[in-house]
Amino acid sequence: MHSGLTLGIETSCDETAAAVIKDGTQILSNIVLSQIDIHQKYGGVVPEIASRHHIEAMFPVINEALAEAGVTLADIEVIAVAYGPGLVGSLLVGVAAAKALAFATGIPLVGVNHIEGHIYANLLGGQEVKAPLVCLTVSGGHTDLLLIPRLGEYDILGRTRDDAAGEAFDKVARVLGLPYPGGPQIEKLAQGGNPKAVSFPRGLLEKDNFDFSFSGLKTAALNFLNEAKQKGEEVNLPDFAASFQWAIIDVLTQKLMLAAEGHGVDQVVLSGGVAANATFRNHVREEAEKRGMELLYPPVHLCTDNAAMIGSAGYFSYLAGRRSDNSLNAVANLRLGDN
Amino acid sequence: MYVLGIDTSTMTGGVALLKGEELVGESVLNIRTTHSERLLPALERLLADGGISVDELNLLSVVTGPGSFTGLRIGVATAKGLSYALKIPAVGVTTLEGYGWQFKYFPGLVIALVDARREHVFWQAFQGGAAVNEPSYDSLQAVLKWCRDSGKPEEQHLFVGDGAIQYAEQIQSSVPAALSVLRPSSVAHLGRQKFLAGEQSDAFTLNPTYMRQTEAERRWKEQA
Ligand SMILES: [Zn+2]
Repeated sequence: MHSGLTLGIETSCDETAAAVIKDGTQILSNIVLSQIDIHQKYGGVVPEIASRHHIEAMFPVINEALAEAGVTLADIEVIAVAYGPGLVGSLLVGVAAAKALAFATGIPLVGVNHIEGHIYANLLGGQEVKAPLVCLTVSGGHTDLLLIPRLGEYDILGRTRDDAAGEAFDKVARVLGLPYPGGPQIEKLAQGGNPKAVSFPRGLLEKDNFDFSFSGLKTAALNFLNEAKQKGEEVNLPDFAASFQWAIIDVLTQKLMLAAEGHGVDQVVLSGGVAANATFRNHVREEAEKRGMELLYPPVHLCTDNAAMIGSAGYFSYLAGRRSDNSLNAVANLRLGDN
Repeated sequence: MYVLGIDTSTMTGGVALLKGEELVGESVLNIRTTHSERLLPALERLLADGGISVDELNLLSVVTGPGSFTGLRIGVATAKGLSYALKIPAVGVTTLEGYGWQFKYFPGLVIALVDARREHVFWQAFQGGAAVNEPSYDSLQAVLKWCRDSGKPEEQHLFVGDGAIQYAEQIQSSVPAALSVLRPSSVAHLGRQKFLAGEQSDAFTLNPTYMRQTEAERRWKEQA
């Protein structure tokens, strides 16, 4: 069936998602069932609970994606599924479902790297992505800095050595008694706060090092709260949140700019859940403009996990001739370039 | 009517194909490779060897549990996908019922034990294929006491399932491990029987039978 239609499937963390994409760029439907409310009381995603919800939600979500796009399975040209990185039990639900659909219908199957999906979210915003470019993917699960010489080719310049940036937000928010996910909560709290009020450490800022480390910052932030508590001092929460957020944004932006300058690219791209943070976007935009670079980031609703981005990445991967067979397995720590 | 049986509840598992009541073929492996990697390739080979194409399947019968949570979800998600794409019904069979059916010609009590670790089991007793109690989660000692209290002599108790292999020393009278393997063909037969009796589900309603809350939910309830 040469319809240009991709069915994308995504279950790598706590979102059960399916989408139908035309020609890799046009969203016909994009269904995301978030489990955030379910995991909130546990302060983070509980893998077994996530898997249990995925298996119940998977086919209602797929069915809704097809119905909303006004198509049936028979119209689909390629099935794309995220097979890593992520929570293995969660990934396995989407992978098993996608493989069974492909096996029963004979529709070609393509396994997609979830991080690659985040990058392709930019194509779905109707933006022109011009490689070579440098891309920073930041979320609760990943902090990856990539050079993309051509679409579909990835050089990993750096990644986090410990916590992902979003994870640091989550952990500090948790100690403050704020609900999961922590990023948007800290961003809200930081409004009106002074980002220079508390000086927090910046990890791994040497010139040629593009890896990230956020555990030192996280520990410093937690110690700051603890010490204040022991001394009976009241913490100015907006100042604290603004300073903590700024420490993360500062490191992310400095490294992104350094990498972009070093590789002489004209375009920098943000993706992942943290790219939805307005303070972060604005700061990167200012810094990019200073250097005459163009900044791209996906629309807010495509920054967080969704299947439209998986469908887009999968379609271009399919056009490039990639296929997965029915022994495709979930790979929790899949790296870009491993496929 | 072609019936496909699927079991991924333990490390052992596989697929079987029935034509009516007749076995066309069966594939069972006890290897470390994940069900995710081996289930569909095994099905593909079975269909090819049987000379049957996938769209000739009429009914799916899948083990829903109890067993390995991850394993169960692979089997159930696969059955859901096949059911959705082929527009055919699926029937869920519990591991325990599967054993009850497989050993229904034993004249005494068949006690199906699925290991739940730390000397605990999911279990159910059957006589002539019919359940004599509700499926439960108990300590092995509680099950053995139930057996002693049943009033039947020891030779009238047949212990089967991976729990019977795991705790063979405490149980004594279990069947050899090789016979304690749940056969996908038993799953297919029982599913067919249930379907003919009017039972069926589909990609939306079929779900695993965990028989246990998650650790996180249990701890949450304890705190509350
Ligand atoms: Zn993600």
